[in-house]
Amino acid sequence: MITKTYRVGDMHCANCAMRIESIEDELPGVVRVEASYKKGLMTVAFDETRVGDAEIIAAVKRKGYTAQPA
Amino acid sequence: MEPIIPAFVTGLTTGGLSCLAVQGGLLAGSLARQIEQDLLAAPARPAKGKAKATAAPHTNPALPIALFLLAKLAAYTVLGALLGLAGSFLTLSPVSRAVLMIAIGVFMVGNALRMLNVHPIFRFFVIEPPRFITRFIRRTARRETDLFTPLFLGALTVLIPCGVTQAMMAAALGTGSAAAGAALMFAFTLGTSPLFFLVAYFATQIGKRLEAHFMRFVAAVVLILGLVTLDSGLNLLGSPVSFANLTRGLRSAAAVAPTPSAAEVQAPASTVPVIELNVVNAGYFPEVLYAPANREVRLDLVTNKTYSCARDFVIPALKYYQLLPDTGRVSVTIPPQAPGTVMRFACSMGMYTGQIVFLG
Repeated sequence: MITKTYRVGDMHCANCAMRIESIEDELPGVVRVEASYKKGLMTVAFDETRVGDAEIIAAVKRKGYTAQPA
Repeated sequence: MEPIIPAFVTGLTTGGLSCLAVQGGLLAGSLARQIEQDLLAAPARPAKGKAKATAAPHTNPALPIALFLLAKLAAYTVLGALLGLAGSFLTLSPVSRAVLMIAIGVFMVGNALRMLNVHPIFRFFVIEPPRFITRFIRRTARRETDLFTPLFLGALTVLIPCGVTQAMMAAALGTGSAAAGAALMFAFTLGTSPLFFLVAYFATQIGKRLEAHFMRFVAAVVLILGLVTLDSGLNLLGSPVSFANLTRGLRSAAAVAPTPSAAEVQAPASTVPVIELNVVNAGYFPEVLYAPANREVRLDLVTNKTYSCARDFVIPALKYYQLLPDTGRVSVTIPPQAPGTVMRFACSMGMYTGQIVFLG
């Protein structure tokens, strides 16, 4: 299990952070997502044997935002 | 009961937009689960039209939206009653109301600049609900569609009031009565509902691209409202830098009679000079009064079927605050002032203003 921080773009309200955090319920292998609109960051705790950077970034993109490792 | 209609109109226009910007996500979360699922299920499909087309036929979103709005209406009415009740225990002085209005104005302007993405620093103007609440809301929103979810999430909107709602909450506090506070918040929230309903109903069709334009429009409206609130707060403090006080010189130079000389405003030494101010529905007339300096002056406030907030009369420099009768005459004794003193007055909302100039 590792924890990684990503810089998230295109968030425009606190609800966007909530929307991004829902990845935690949808992407297998992701244990916890904490997104902050104020900081423009999200911290993801995930099982690196089941999911990787690319899937996480793609999941954020599907929500309408951009993400890149901070 | 006088502010109920303005509250409804505020809700109908700006309140609806501003609330939607803040609470729209919560509403989206409460909509039928399959709408979101359909969108999620179509990640590989580049054609957005297809995803939209699959979203509609399952359920009619009108029922969950209506339930969401009903719950919101009930929750804010209860909040209004509680605020009104709290307001009956603490009376806001004009100064504290002015400070509150300035703070709300700054908050709204900051929020508008945040929405316009002027600088990341403005993100600090957003009130983020605690993480355990967002997690709880999210989990609730993801459950199977039932009638409870939109009802519950609608009630939760009290936790994330928008800037305009917060201003209205301050007004509810100012009513000093549970019934009046509840009525005010009910009228305002009812006013926000039609726009909320329409936009939410078509939200699935609007998509993210239009959302950005929509946000910009809301930001512009909130910016204007914020500046107006800020200005009202400054008026209420009697500040010379408010818009009305800064532009009064220009307006009066064009429209009003020239400044009288000191001798013209003097009264015989044996009598107290009296100046008269007409308090009418549209404000104060004349907007600029002249009085002799260095002696006590009596200011007569004359109302005649005056029902607007101009009746709530404030002279910040004297800490004078009085709710005038709708028809009648109230006298205020003003202690001697130095020549050149400009004493400003305003209504308790800071909307209508005027000043007394002391000539020596």
